[in-house]
Amino acid sequence: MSVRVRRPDTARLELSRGDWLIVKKHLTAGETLEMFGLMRQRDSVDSIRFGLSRIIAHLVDWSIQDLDGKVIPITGKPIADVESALRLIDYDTFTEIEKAVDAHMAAMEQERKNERAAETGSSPISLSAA
Amino acid sequence: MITETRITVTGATGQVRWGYHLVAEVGAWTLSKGLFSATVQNVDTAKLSQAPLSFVVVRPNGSRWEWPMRDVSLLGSILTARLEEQEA
Repeated sequence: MSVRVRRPDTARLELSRGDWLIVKKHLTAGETLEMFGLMRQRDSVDSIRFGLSRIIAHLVDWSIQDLDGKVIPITGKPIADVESALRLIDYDTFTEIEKAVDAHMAAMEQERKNERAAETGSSPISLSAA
Repeated sequence: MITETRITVTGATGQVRWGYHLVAEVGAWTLSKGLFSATVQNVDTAKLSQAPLSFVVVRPNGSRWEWPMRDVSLLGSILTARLEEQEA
């Protein structure tokens, strides 16, 4: 028997100009399925919604401010409100956030691989095209 | 000399959270001498069984009240618990 639930741990991602994101370290099965659902447009993955969905799935809090210098609220907000906030910011900021989340997801995937390798006592295998 | 005063705090909304996970939407709630009672809806029963849980109230000015919960029990739509010292 083994533990198959992860604690809701978060990570802080630093952005330019002193801004930051608080993101979920690992998604639950439900959150992952929800993320996939957000990506879909009819019967295929919507390439435009792909990045947006990955950000929404991971974002817990941030320091991004609006024109009045107030942090745009996203903590505890419904998905639609978080998407609205992401669509409000300028595109350069959006792409910076997308890159930060992508890097975070890759790092967490590697962390999970390392955990599995440690459990089996083997080294993580990296597959690459010949 | 320390005297014990009975203060009852009530509210109309709140949330039960497990870390950043939303566990339940809280409606009318009462807190008296650490004993918490509330009507809840949209309960994630799997997350409700996890620990540590917190009761969170987001005030109109954006600030948060947050209490660690223990001895959580759900009967129908009524949730009861013991709340510990409010977290800063």
